[in-house]
Amino acid sequence: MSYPVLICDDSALARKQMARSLPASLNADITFAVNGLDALEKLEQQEFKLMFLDLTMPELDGYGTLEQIQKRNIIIDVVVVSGDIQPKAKQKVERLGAKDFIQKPMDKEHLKSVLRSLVNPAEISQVTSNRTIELPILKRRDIYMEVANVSIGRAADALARHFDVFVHLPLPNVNIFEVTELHMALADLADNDQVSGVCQGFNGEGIAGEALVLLSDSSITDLKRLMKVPAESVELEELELLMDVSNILVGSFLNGLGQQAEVRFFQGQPVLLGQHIPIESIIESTSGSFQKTMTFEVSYNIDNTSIRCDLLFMFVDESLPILDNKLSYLMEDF
Amino acid sequence: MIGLPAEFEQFHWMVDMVQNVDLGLVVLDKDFNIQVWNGFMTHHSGKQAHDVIGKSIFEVFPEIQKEWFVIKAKPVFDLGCRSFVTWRQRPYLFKCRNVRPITQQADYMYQNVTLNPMRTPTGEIKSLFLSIQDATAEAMTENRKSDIKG
Repeated sequence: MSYPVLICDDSALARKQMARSLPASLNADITFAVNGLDALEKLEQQEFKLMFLDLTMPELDGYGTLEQIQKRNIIIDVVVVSGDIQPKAKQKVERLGAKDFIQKPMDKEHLKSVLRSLVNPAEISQVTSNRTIELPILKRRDIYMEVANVSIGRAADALARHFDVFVHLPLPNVNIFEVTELHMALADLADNDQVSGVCQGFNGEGIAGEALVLLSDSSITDLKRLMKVPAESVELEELELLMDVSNILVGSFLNGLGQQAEVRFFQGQPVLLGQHIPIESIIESTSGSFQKTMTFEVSYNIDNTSIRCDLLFMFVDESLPILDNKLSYLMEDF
Repeated sequence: MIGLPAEFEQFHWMVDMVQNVDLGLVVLDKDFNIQVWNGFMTHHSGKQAHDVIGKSIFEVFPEIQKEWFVIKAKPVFDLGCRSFVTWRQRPYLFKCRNVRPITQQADYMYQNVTLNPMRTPTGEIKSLFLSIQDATAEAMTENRKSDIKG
């Protein structure tokens, strides 16, 4: 008898890594699901003993999936595998009945100890069949997506600890951004006086680019509270606060990315768009300088605040081969 | 073999560069005590290294608001990311006197300051270093531009 396991993750890379990490001795019969809804469908059709569940997914996220599993009285051991490593995320999934929590990128020793505690050896057949699992085909974008996901998790954890809040983890997006799209976003920013934009260059070992942070001005009061700016003793100007917060968001994401690519990134001086540099002149000067560029898009929401912000990380073309090279270890396992 | 001099000589080069580079370099520990004070800082602030090392930065420079600076330094120690003070928001961190009686056009040095995390070999951040850039020329050009416009 083989051991039925369900792996639910929207990232093809993560599904593949998970499937490959399971020891052969488990003799696992692996089924994949690409989001929570897909997983629930598969749980209805077939009985599984063990499920590995990601938290940030489209359609139905990991929290919603855990809720549904409880509601529908489905009996299964769920292990959450996530890049969201905020202490509050762990508490939340434990309350929702998850048996364990594995942090991405995954540590195989930790996985082994989780399996030892959850799997009853008597249930595993001793005859190992040479079953080949059909693994998802990876594209370069899948790797970038998963790397962005883990980076966001790190950044959110840093923010959560720094401000003592819970940060809602969005799905990152990895896109090829055209210069015209950038111009549209900038023109929009110029028209909208409710939103501020801060730009910050970054580089590390030849990987270079620029980050653009868009922050709604309504966030300012909440930010002041979170940064614990004393009301009167310190006149921390709003613009300076905006730049400080963008700097923290950019810095913590780059740290997350840097940990995976083993690169130390450094940010440059932040520049406030529209204040330090007119937006029209940016549109003019970027016309023709590049056509397309690889971009990570990330948004953050902070619990119980009106803080919403969007981050764009654009990499210059020459950086991509270096970044690929640094991340190639993610492919090597396969 | 590449023809590099012995390690101790290279080390002296590093020290020499830190001392004489056209950039202020200051190392602070977690309690904001000054650990390194390079030649640029001595030259522009008029304070000698032996007079400031080991002392709190707030004691040596009472014009630096403690609460504000602690907020600036928090992400550096907590998150390991850089933090910035730009002359556009705050003209200077250290008030540096006029050292060029003929060609200096401002009463004090405009500064761009970066707070950088310093990691121990084990990855902990126990100190930070400040790099202080003279932004006076930039500030003067920009102020002149806005004068013409205004």
